[in-house]
Amino acid sequence: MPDIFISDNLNKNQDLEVEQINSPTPQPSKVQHLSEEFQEFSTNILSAFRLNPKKAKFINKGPDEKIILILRRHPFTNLGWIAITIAMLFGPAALVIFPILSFLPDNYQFVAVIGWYMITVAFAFENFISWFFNVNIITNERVVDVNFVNLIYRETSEAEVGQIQEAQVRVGSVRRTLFNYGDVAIQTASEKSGILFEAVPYPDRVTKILRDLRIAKGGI
Amino acid sequence: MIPLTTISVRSVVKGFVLFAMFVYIVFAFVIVKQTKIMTQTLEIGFENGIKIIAWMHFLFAIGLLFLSFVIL
Repeated sequence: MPDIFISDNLNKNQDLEVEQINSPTPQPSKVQHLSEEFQEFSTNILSAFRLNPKKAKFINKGPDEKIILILRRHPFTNLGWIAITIAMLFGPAALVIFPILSFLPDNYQFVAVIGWYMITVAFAFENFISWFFNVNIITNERVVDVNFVNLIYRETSEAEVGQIQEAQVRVGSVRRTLFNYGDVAIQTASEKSGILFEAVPYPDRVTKILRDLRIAKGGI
Repeated sequence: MIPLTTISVRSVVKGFVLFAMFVYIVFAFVIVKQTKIMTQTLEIGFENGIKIIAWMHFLFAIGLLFLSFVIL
């Protein structure tokens, strides 16, 4: 016997649901949606805003964990040490104008100049790897902040995406506003103080990605 | 025992330079170890290039010590 008390609209909705379940094309997940939204961003290994890196890994990465975003300090923050490096490269040339090593024999001067260039290379290399490896990683499960404080000291902080309570953007100077970079302070539900992404590019988009991940994880 | 009067200023300076070079080699080795730790922590591309630069720098530092030893 047909149930006469079920309305036609409800039946139509049920039909729609059945169609969606049987649909051959799956609905895009929130993470896939993010990828499409930020297509214009570079996937270059030197990029400071590297979306969906293909072969990236980090220590303690879970087998099913997917890296969504790798962030570094904005390239503009490297301007200081790059300028110093260029100045150091011209240091030996300045000896022609200011011959402060002229009292030394030629062989000592030669070794001094080679040593100076070695120090210059070491200075530039140290600053480069410090920038390159001090990264903030956002995965589909957590947020990781890797800090190499000095030559041998490493600090890693992490928080589950579901534990994130607030992501605050701080863009506080003229150059940060001009070049669109700033800090993202992430407050978590744990007792530890939060995680700080320092001087990262597109901080607003970073918070948007975090928010979408939290929604996808059911954190909000 | 070598009498102090026979030690020239140049040999003292050479000793200091060689010691500084040795300290620099230790520093270059620390950089090699540091890059190793960093590349173990993160694999985000360009690891081989970074390791090669660190090792080249270390080998150049050793080469500079030998060069200094010979030409000074």
